[in-house]
Amino acid sequence: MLDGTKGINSAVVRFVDVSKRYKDSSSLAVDNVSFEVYPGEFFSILGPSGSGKTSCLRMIAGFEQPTSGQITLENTNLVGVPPHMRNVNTVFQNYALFPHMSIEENVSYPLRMARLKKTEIKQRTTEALALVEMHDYAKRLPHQLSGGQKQRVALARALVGKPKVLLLDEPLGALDLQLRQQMQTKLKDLQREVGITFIYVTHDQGEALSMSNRLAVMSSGRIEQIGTPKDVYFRPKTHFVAGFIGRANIGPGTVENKPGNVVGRWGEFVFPVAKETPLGPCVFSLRHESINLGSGAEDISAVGVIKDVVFLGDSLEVFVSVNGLTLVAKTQMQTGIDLTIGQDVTVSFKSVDVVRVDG
Amino acid sequence: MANSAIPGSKRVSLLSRLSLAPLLIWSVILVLTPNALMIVYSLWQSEDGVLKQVVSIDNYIEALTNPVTISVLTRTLFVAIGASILATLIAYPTAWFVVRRLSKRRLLAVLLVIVPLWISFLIRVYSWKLVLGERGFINSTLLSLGLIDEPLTFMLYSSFAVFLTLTYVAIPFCFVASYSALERLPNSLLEASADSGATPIQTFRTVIWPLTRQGAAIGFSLALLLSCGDYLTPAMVGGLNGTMFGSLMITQFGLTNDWPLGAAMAVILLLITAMFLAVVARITRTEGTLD
Repeated sequence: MLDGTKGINSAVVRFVDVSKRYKDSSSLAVDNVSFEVYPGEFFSILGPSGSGKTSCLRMIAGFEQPTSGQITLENTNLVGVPPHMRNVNTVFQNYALFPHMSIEENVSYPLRMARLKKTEIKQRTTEALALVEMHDYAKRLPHQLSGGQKQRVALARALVGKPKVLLLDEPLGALDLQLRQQMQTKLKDLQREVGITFIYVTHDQGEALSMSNRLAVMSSGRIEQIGTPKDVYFRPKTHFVAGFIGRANIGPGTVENKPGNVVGRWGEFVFPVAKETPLGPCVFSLRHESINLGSGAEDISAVGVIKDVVFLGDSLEVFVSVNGLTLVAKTQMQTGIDLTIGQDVTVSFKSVDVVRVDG
Repeated sequence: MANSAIPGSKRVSLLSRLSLAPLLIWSVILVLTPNALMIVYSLWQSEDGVLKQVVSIDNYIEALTNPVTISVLTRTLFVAIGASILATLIAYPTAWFVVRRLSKRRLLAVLLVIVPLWISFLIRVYSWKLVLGERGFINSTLLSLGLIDEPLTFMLYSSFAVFLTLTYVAIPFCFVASYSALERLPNSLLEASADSGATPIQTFRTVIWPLTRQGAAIGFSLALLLSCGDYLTPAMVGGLNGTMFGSLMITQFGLTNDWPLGAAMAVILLLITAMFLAVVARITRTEGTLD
């Protein structure tokens, strides 16, 4: 359903060549960014701090205006429209609950501002509180709640007005690990239940990969890659994406034209690559977990020396030197092979798992 | 937050009790004792300037039945409350502007507003004489512009002059109180309000004002306390028509030498302002705390 082949008019949110430069700043916070978010999608923007992901979100919410470019919501222009006139709602990183209002008053706030009928306000507020399982806390004040509870109230307040798009700005950032994982599942379920488009900003790749239908990876104000979590994880387009998401062996190599086919050369490994791959020096990326140890099971293999073994709890990271090229392999605890440092070991991988990335 | 009383920890509670001692001593010496003395004095009598330690409420009856005292008291309350309201109305939006609109020059702006406090109170009051007087700034400007033929005389030596001067004196206090409340207001709350569809006016009514009105009320209270007991300002710019309750009181302690009556008047003013401020505090109370 979310295959990206939808007609151009079906996008809920569209960025066209959007740039943002803050006052007194020499560099662009957002640098010529274009992307589309489709109805009902869980779309994440992933990037390190300072990558421009929050600026993108704030431009959709209306707290910032783009320096140039166009932003549309359901094909209507958003640039210049003040935040209170936009049919989008935000879940803030620090929750931003009104401290002087009860939970009920916080959640009913958007409805009261829209001057809906009392009975409708009452009913929809109750529904929204029930949706996040906070109906027992309706009369409490925000400071009497825990972080996770505040988070849920913030969600209810953002959803109660039935926005076209829900914007989430690192909403789980302030929660502890266990609660964060619970909330991830909860958020995903909630998104399916209400069917509202979510745009989720995070620096946590685990969150982005596990929850999103699609994600955009940003760095230094630019979008490095947009795709499904699998795409971005297994077929990184750029050096940055390969390095930022998951753990990968990244190193310089070349693409050469051999009689009959095009091959990649990385250290002593030579492997076939797609015919249309541009020739010349390049950067290759290979996931740690794509490397097999102990047998030549895959089509590319070589023998190397174990340099180091790092214990990670559920797995091991094995550093193997193959003729001066050090590769890291992630492997299970019980492999039945000798992982003593200094020992020879066979490494092998599928040639299709090697990805040529842009510098 | 609630770590001041950890059960089972005697040392902490002893320490915290000890740390309250200076505050206690301070209040006893500087607040309780003088006020207690004042109440005691107000119940004694003065006969031809000689103090009689006889307890009665005659002074109160005298103060509250004298038409002059009552009319001056009424005027004082009007002028003082009016000046405090006007000062708050000027200072609160100014503080808002400084907090929200200025970033780099914020400190400079704050300094400019409170810098008059560095100058002696007397000189600040006197400066209004130079502005409002017959040969003052306003008159000489209007005269030289040819807008008037004779200097205006109604400005100085009137309740209006007292009102204006008290307002001016109160503004820095109202500003500082409003400023500190507005500065603590997180931007994200304003964004959350706009995000929820609230217009700027709705945001002010439902978020900004409820969360900062206590600051405005503190500024207002300071202004009121400063202005309703003041006797210097009416003495300098008030003239006969601008006589305030403070002027009447100081007369009892000086010229008339009737300390008990003066003390009774002071207690009356104290009770009225205390009641008024209690009402102000009550209606500006807001539940909930900012993180």
